[in-house]
Formats: sequence, structure tokens, C-alpha cells
Amino acid sequence: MKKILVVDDSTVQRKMIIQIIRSAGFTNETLEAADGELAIEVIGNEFEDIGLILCDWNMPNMTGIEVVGALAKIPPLATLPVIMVTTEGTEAKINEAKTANPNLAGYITKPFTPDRLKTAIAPILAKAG
Amino acid sequence: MSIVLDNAFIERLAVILEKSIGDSSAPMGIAVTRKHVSDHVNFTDVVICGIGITGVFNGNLTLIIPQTTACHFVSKMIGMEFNEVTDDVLDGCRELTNMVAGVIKMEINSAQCDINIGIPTSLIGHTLHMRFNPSDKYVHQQYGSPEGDLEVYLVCRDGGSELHEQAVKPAAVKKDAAGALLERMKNNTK
Repeated sequence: MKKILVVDDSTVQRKMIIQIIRSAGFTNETLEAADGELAIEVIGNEFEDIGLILCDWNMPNMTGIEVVGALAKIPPLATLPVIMVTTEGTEAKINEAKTANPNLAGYITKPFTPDRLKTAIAPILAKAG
Repeated sequence: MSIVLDNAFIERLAVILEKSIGDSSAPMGIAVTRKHVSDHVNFTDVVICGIGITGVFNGNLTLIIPQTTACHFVSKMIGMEFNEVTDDVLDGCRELTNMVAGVIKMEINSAQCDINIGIPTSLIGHTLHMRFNPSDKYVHQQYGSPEGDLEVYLVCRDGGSELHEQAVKPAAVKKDAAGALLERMKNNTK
């Protein structure tokens, strides 16, 4: 079963997301990263086992947009499903994210309801296994 | 685009702030309702969370949450009981502040204006005395919830006409993220 990587500089936000994933009945192992740099480390180590990345935008050291942009440049990772989960909800920011990674699998603006997250991840996890 | 911090704008901001508080707290299971604000609320033993704002106006958003309420809020947010203010409680309060500011940003952006928000910060203390410059305009609201009350200030000063992103967000050092990722992958290919 593929793993889910949750990238957010807020510990509480990561816990909230993982709690929603669990309450939705998904038993996939979850990985966590507190900024973009740590996310790069985790992805580099576990890229063959990761089936979904939930990524915040504004983080210290390296932003989420740099992470999703990097994924798009590396062919084996370009199709790795990534959902941005961020307070950056303006049209311009959404377009910027889609430009950085044309294969972006979703864009969730904080605050979000548990149902919103469940609806976004369910088809991806069903496909990823 | 510059704006005038007149009464009409401040009244509009008050509506936006109320919507932002409601929209941000509801998904986390926190039901807040607006309360009448007295001039001197004087919450004691509080968590104070602030976030800078620049753009069509400069200022900040400040949430003042009694520590017991903060613990209850974060307990609700992540389903874990907190009886004292821990790093997680402060982190949760900052995240709540971040979300409120995010909704404010979206609402203002939809009116063809633009603001940038910074990184939320937090501190704990006995009381907070807000002081304003004579030219400052602000919205002050108080909310009640089953978990306790909180107080919110949205302060506006000098209608800025430009975005000063670097002033509120630490610039992320541009790194070769793809290069670093490739390097890691090489070392970990099964």
C-alpha cells in the first residue's frame, strides 16, 4: 500500500490532516515533513513507495511550490500525485502552482472541511493502491 | 491600487473579519458566535497570535485567546486533550490565525485589491494592552464559543499602494530543489 506524505510547517495541521485520513478509513502509512527541504529528503528516500503528497505552500527553508516544481522536472516523479493544501487561495496563486507542476492532482484552500480533503484524496488513493 | 481607510472601508473589513473567523473555525469543529464588545475585555493569561499584513493597507491581525480557551480549541482541532499551553497549542493557535488571515486575503482579493500576509507568531502572557497610533484604524471584535471567548483586532495603518512581500515573509533561499532530489534518489534507488 502506497504511503502518504504530509508536508506542512504546522505540527497541528499535519496532525489534523492525518486524523482526517484515518477517520476516512485510509490505512496508508503516513510520512511527515515540516518544510520543503525535509520533504525533498523524504521524497528522495521513499519515492518508490509514496502514492500521494499533500503539500503546504508557505514554509520556511524551502516553499511547497519549489517542491512541486522540482517534482515536475524529474520524469519518474512528474506524475506523482500532489495536492496543494494552503491558505494561498487566489486565482493567481493557483495558476502559479499549476504552472510549476502541470500534473498537480488538486488544490485545497485552508480552511477546509474533512469532507473536502476526503473527496480529493479518495480517487487518488484508490488508483495508487 | 491604493485605498482610503474611511469608515465605509473599515465597516467592510468588519464584515470580512466576521466571515473569516466563522469560515476558519467551523471546519475545525469550533462554533464561534459574535458577541458585543466592551471597551475593556481584559482577558488574562492569554495566548496572543499576530500576523503582519501589507498591501492596499498595512497592519496586522491579532487574536487574543485565553489560555484555557486555546487549549480547548486545539483539543478540538486535533482530537487530543490539552490542559496546559504546549508548543502544539501555540502551533494550533498560529494555524487558526493563519487561516483567518488567509480568508481575509481571499475576500479582499475578490474586491480587486491585494494584500500579503506574513508568518504567524505567538506568545503567551498575563494580559495584553493594545496601543494604537492616532491615525490607526482598527476593527475590534469579540467572539464566544462553548470552548470559551476570544478577542480579535484587525489593525490598518497608512493605506499602502504596493505589496511588500519581503517585509512580511522571510525570503526562502532559492535552492536547486530538483538537483537535491535527484541526488537523494540516486542514493536510494532500490
